[in-house]
Amino acid sequence: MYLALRNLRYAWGRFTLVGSVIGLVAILTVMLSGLANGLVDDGISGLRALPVTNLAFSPNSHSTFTRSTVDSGTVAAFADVAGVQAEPLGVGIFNAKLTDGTPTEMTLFGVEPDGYLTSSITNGDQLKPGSMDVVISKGLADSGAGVGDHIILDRTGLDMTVVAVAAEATYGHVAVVYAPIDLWRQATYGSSPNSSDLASAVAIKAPAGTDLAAPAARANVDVFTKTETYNGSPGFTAETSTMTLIRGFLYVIAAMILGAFFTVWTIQRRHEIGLQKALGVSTRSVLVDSLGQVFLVLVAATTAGTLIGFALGLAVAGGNVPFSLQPGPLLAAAAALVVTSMVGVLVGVRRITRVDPIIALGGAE
Amino acid sequence: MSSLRLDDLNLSFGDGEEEVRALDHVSLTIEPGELVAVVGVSGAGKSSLLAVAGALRSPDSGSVSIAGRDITTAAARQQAQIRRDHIGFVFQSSNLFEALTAREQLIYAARIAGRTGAEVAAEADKLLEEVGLTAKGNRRPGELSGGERQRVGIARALINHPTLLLVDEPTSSLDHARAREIVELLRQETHRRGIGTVLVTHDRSVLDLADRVLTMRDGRITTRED
Repeated sequence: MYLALRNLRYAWGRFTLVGSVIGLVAILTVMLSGLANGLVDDGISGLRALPVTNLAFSPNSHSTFTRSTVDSGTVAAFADVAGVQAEPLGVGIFNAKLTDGTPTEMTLFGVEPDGYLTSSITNGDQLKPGSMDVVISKGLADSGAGVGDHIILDRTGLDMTVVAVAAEATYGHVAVVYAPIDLWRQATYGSSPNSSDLASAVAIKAPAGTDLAAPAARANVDVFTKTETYNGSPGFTAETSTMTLIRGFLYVIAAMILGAFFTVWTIQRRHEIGLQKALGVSTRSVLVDSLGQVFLVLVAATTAGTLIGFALGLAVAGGNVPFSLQPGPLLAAAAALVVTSMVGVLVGVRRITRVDPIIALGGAE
Repeated sequence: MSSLRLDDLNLSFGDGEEEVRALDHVSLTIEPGELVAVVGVSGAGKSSLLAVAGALRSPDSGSVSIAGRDITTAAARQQAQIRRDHIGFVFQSSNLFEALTAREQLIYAARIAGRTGAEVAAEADKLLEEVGLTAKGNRRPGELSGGERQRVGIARALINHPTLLLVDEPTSSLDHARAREIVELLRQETHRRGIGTVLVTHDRSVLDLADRVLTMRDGRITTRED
């Protein structure tokens, strides 16, 4: 690294330039990761917050709540398994008006008032069986609803009373409202006489290793892990694949920029590389030095870009932009940027192996 | 033990009608402490001679030994090792590393041969003094004159105590007085250190400083002036 480090210092202008480009790509990557995470959170945070391990849906509903219907028999099939807690869960998106007439929309989570889901939501005693009481999540409270206010569902005209505010929870980018399951059934099925034991899915809390396949077969339903069901939430797949695609492009762009830069840099240094080899430096050693040099630039630029991106992210996170950064994905994104860029660089510095030391003899005949 | 021994070397480029015989039955022995000048027109085979003697090319036939070691069929890695441990190169227009100071050029060359530390630094300073550049050790090639760069090149070639010094047109960019100084420096170091030196040059005005002068033409050594 003796020569590589001194070259770095000597040609610092050029390296700063290419470093800045990589830094900017890192900023974009971090911002996109934050936005992607934010969007994902916005889509499924209500679902993620539920203390369940698995969910059972009716066949071929692809883990989408609105396509699935289960009944009390299905719930019982799982509740009968030793160690398993199973409850009906109703999920649906509704239009409604607040007390002051403001139109809004919400995802209604219908839960058993005395079940384990309810106890995880708030103090656990707010939802009374047979009542019109609901618990709203923080997002709806932020848009003006408060304890004691009424929320009137469109179409059915059901008049619900807010009794408590729970933590931030959204599903399909819409704030979650927790309601007793009977209230959810009225909102969903009206007063249809056969609807009194229906729900969207079975919320299952099972110890690790429990065999859920047998009860699922018995009840003729599909069982998914909680994480798998995120794919069924509105827009989830499209959002994550779009973000992944954009991030993928950023990595490719970074790799190509570095590949191009180090191709030109290697061509410029061709004579110097020939000289190194003529003086007895092995090709391997020249390669390792070059890659080490790039790695330093890359890590410095990525670190700087990630920190700046993180600061920018914190600045926008407070507003209406769904933005969420966790250290894990952030580090993964930075590492991916470094790795893909190094691949681009490999293409660029590959020609080091082809430099013939004989070019050091200037007047080669 | 001879510094360099070339025996019946042949080297051609191209094939068929286009074939160029760069070296044609060349035999040559250089003893330690001997400065041998090689002259000849462009294309006479001087650079090919340096390339083979410098373990940068393998000959088509014949044998090459440096410091008693036969390197005729050495692989690229062994050739690099021979260059590192036994050969000092002084190139045309000096060929210094742009980013390194005069002193660092020497230290880097020592590092290539696996030598580091205070002893190497002291030796670098002593060599810079020998070539008259003590005051300019911290300058980069861009801040040195042509003659000074060539002196750094010579000091760099000497730092690893080579048995063979190969010098390629060292005076091509220098005026007469500077050129003579450089060759005189090479002569002194060759004699004092007991190195075998091959000096390829166009410059006939410095030939009186050589111990022997060889002329090359069409890949052959045609005259031997002693």
